[in-house]
Amino acid sequence: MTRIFIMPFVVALATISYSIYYNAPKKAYSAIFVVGLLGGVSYEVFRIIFENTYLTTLMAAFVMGSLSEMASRIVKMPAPIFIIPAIISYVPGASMYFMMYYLVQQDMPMALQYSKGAAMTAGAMAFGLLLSTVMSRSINFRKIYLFRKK
Amino acid sequence: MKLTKREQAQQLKNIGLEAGALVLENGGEIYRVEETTRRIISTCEGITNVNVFSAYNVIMVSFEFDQETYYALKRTFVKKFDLLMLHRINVFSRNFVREMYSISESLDIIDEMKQYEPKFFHRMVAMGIGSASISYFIMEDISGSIVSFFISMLALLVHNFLARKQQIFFVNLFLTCLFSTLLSGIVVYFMEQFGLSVNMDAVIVGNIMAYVPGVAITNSIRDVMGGDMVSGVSAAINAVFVATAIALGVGSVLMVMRGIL
Repeated sequence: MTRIFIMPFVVALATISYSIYYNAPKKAYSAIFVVGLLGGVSYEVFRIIFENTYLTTLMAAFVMGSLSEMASRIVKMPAPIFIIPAIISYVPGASMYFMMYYLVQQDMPMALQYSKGAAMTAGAMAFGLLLSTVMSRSINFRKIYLFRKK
Repeated sequence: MKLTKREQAQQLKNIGLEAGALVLENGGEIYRVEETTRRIISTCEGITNVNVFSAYNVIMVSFEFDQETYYALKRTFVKKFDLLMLHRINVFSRNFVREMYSISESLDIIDEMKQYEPKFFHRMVAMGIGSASISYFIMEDISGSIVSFFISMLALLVHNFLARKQQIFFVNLFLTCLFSTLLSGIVVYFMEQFGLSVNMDAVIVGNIMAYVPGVAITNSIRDVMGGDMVSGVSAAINAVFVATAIALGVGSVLMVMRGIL
């Protein structure tokens, strides 16, 4: 239960440091931090609600994509600046590692399970981001924002 | 903006092509590449029939001006994520459409943008912190994340050294993952000899996380859905090969270690 208080900050730290690694503009750091933090909070909350990795990843990716689209309109920068550092914490690297680990141990059922998990997590992430992009293109945010900039 | 001579149309063609190629090299989606080039070119008066096509590593453009057709093609070789460059091209194309730069100025601005080189040391430390925190996020093991902080920085040094030698990208990645896994295995083994127990899984997961092609897969699916079939399919195949290279790099070392230990 302490995880829900610690992990968002860990994820935000990871997000901000990978944004430095990918050489993000300095003006975007605060927005990237907020996107990472809220993405981490949403991931932990959905994890408790759904108890299912794929659904959790899909919903968290959707939330992060929407936040990135909003941030890109507020800070006036392209959306990949926020999306690329934000989703790197959720890519299925651990599943890939464990797939290889069990493959070396010659435990085929476990290896298959992890490879299926890696593919499905990647697909869920892509689909969540896609949903957010489609939504942001069909809704005109300028009409909704009260704090629009000129 | 009004074009007076035919040489200016040639220069405009180069500006659009260079700007689009920079977006393509630095991690933009295909629709962003095409839109940047199309807007830059069609902002000038008297230009009709603008066509832009971009695939995974090529960008083509053609348009008509003064009853003459101009067309050009540019092949890109680098594929990396540089968010500052994306931002600068975005600002440049917005200002160009608002007619803040003249055509000869714009070529100088793009040349100046290409000269920029980020500081490597900052990126290396950021890589270390990021790997450590992701390792803690996934495995919840603090000792593993501390070890992964140092090893990921060394692995990035190796990756950069190999990239400077113009090796094939997949081989680079394979060798980097091989190196980082081997080093983690050795470090964890020696720390256990001194009585410190470290979770090796956490170390390796933190190291490979930065190279897993999550963004590439996402972008490729988005390209396919948006109708850019050629680049979407090639990016997806590229992502599969990258994942295979990482898995092979990790797996070969695990196999050897399992034989020894």
